[in-house]
Amino acid sequence: MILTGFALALYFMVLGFAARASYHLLNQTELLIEKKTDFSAHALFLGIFLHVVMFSLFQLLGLSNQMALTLSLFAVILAITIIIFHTFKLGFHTHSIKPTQTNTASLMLIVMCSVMIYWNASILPEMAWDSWMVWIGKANQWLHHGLATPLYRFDEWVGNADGIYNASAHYPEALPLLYLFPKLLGWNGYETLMVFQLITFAMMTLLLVSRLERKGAPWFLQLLLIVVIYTTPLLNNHLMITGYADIWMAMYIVLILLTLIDYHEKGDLGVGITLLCYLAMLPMLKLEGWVWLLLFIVAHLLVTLANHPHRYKFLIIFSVFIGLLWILGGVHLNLPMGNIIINSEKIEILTLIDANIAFNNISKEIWVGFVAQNNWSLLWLGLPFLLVSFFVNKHNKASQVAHVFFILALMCFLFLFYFTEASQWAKDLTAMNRVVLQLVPCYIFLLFKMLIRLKGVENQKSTSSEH
Amino acid sequence: MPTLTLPLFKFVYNAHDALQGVKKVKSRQLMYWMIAILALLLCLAYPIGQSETAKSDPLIISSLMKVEPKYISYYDNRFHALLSGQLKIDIKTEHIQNKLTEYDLIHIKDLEIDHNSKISLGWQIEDKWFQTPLNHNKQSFTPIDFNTDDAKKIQNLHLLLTSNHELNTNPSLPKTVSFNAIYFEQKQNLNSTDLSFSQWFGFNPIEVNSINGYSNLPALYLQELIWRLMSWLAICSIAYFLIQINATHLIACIALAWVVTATPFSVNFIRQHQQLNTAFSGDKQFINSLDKNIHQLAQSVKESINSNDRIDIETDQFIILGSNQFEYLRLFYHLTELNVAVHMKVPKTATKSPIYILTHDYFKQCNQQDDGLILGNRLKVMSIHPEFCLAKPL
Repeated sequence: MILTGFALALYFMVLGFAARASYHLLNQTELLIEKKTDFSAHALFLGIFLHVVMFSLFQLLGLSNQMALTLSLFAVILAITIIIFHTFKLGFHTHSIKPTQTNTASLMLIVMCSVMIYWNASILPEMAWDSWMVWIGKANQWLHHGLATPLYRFDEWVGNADGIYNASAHYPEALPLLYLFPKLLGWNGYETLMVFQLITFAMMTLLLVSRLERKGAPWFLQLLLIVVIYTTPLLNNHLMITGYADIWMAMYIVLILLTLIDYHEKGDLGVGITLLCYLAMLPMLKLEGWVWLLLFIVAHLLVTLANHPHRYKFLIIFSVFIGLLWILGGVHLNLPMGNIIINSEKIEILTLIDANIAFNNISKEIWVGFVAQNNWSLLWLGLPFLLVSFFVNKHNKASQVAHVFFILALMCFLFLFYFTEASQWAKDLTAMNRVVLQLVPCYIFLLFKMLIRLKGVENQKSTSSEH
Repeated sequence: MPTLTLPLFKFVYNAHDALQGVKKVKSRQLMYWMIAILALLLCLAYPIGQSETAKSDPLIISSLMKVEPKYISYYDNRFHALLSGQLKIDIKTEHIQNKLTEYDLIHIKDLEIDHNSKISLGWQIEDKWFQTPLNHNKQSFTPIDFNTDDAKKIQNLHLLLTSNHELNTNPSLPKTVSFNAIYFEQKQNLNSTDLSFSQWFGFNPIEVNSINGYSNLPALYLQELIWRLMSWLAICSIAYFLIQINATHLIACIALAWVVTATPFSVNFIRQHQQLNTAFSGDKQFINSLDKNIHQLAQSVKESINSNDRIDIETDQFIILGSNQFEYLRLFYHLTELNVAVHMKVPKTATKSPIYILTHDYFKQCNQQDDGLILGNRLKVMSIHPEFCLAKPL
C-alpha cells in the first residue's frame, strides 16, 4: 500500500512533466530543470490539475469507469512518449546543483516527520467524517455507479431517476476525482491516499524550503521551517487524519504564492500558465476556493493600482464609488446566475454566500482557537510583527500581492465569523480553525521571509552553502 | 493609560540609548542571553492562579469508594479496578460533605491507565450533572471546580471509568486500572511546577471529531504554557530591539520556545499511538464497535433486498429513514452500492416509489399495526427482519 501511494504520485508527476515538455515542444525551446526537487514538486501539482481536468471531461462525455481508466492509462503512455520524444528532439538541461548538507538534512528531516505521521496514521481507520461522507465518499459512489453518474442533493434526487444521492452533491469534485483513480486501479486501501497525501505535502515543504534558501535563509531557519510545519498541531493532525479537503486548499494557496513570486522574478510564460492552472484549481477543491481566487485577483488589482502613477485619482474614484453605494443603500443586482446584494443588513453573492449581517462577539472563541487550544502552537504571536514588517519594509510586487492577499483573507475570515451566521462554527470551535488552516502554510512562509530580513540573518547565506 | 505609557516609552527609549553604549558585540550577546534566560525562568516558574483559601489537609477519598467488591481489589499497596465497558465508583460523602468546596484539585497517586480508557470525576448539583476528565499521568493532578459554594448541594460524587467507545473496535475487552490513592487537594499545598508539568503533559486522545489539533476539552491545559512562552518571546523581542544584536539570537529563542511547546505535543503523539494500537489491534476496517454492527446490518439489508423479487437492485431507489447521526450515515456508507439516500421524513413527491429502510429509532414503527401500514398509513411494510424492516409507499 505504501508503494501504491508512491506509484500514484509518480503518475501525476509524469502527467505534469509531459505538460511542461509539450509546452517546450510547441515553443521549440529547451526544458531547463534548475532544481530537481522543485521541478518534481511542480510536475506533481500540475499533474493533479491535469488529472482533474481530464476526469471532469470524462464525466462530461459520460464515459464509463472502464473507459475512463483505459483513457487515463493511454494518457500515461502518451505522456511518457512526449517526454521521450522531447528528450531526444530538444533535450533538457539540468543544472547539476550539488545538494548541500542543509538540503540533505532538510530532506531527511521531512522524510522523518512524514514517517512519524505515517506511524500513527497507518493504524487509523478512515475516520474523518467529511472524508467518508463527501470526499472519499463520492469516489466510492462513482466506483460503484460510474464516474458519469450525476450526484444530487435529496430534493433533486427524489425527482431524478438517473442520479445518486450525496448530501454534499453541490461541493466541487476535484478531490473525489483524485481519490477515484487509485480505486479504479483496484488500490482501494485508505493507506494509498494517506501515503500520497504525505508525499504531496512533503513536496510542498521542499518547495517552501527551496524558496527560503533562494531568499537567503540560513540552514537553521530552513530546518526550523520544517519543524514548525510538521509540529504545528492542526497541520500535523490533518496530515494524520487523511481525507479533509482543507489541507489540499492550503497546499494550492501556498503554491500560488510561490509561483507568483517565480513569475514576477522570471516573467516566463510557462510559469504564468502554471500559475493560472493552480488558480483554477482553487474553486475545484472547495466552495471557498472562489473566495480565495477572488481575493488573489483583488490583491493583484490593489497592488497594481497602488503602484500606478495615478493612484490618488483611483483612490478618489473608489472613495466616491463607495460613498455613492452608501448613499444608495448598497448593491442590488439580480443576475441570471444569481443575486449580488450587499447592504448593511445582508450579503449575498451568487451561490457563494447568502447571510444576514449581525454582530456576534466571538473574541473568546478566536482566542481559544488561535492560542489556548494549542492548534497553532505559538504561530499567531508573529502576526503583529508580520503586519508591521509589511508596512515598514519595502517589497517587490509579488511579495506585496502575497501580503495583501493574506491580509484580505484574514479580514474576510474575521468578517465572516464576526458578522454572519458562520459565527456558529466559531462558537463550536469546528470550521473556524479549518478555514484558518487553509491560510497557515502561506502565513508560515511570510513569517519566515520576514525573519530572513532581520539583522544578520541573511548575511549567513554564504556560510549556509558550505554546510 | 497615557500617564503610564509616556514614562514607559521614555524608559525604553533611554534604555535603548544606554545599551547602545555597550560597544562590544560579545558583551551585548551575553547581556541578551542573561536577560533571555532570566526571563525564561521567571516566565516558566511564575505562579499563576494560586487560590487564597485557607490551607486544608489533603482529603483521602480512595478509602471512601463504594463499589461491588468484584470490580475493585486491593493488593500490593494498590487499588485495582476491573474495567469492562464502564465502571462507576461512588464516593461516600457523609463525613466529608461540608469540606468538599474547600478543595480545587484531585490528585491520583501512581495511576496506571491505558490510553484507550478514560477516568473522570462526576457529581450532581440539583438537576445538573457535571463531569471533569482526569489527567492520565502517573502523578495525576486535575483542577476541579464544583461550580457551587454550597458544599451541601454536591450529590452523587463518583469516579467514572470508561472504555473509549468512539474510536475503538473492542470497547468491552476487560482492562485493569490501578492506583495507589486518590486525594482532594488544594492547589496552594502543591508545588506549582509539579502541577504545571502534570497539566502540560496531560493526555489528549484522538476522537471521531478530532478536527482541531486538540479536542475541545473544558480544560485547555496548554493555554498556560503558551501564554508563558509568548510572554517570554515578547520580552526577548524587546531585549533584541534594545540591545541591537544579531537576529540569530532572537531566532534561537523562537526555536527554543517552539521546541518547548512541541515537546508535550510530541509526547502526546506517541501516547496517541498507544491509544490507537489498543483501539484497533490489527482491525482498522471499522471506526468502532457500533460501526462493525452497522456493517453487519448493511449486509443483512443487502441480502434481504437481493432475495426480494419485488425489488430491483439496479433501478430502485432506497431511502434510509434517519437523521444526520452516525448510525444512519454509516449505514448509508456501507450501502454505497445501492442508489440510497438518508432522510428524516417520507418525501411528498418522488418520481419513483422508493424502498424505505427503517432501522434503529425508526425500527419500532415496523411492528405498530397488524395490517403493516405505518407512518400515518403512508408506507406498507414489505418485510420485517430482526433489526430493520423494508417498506414502500402505498
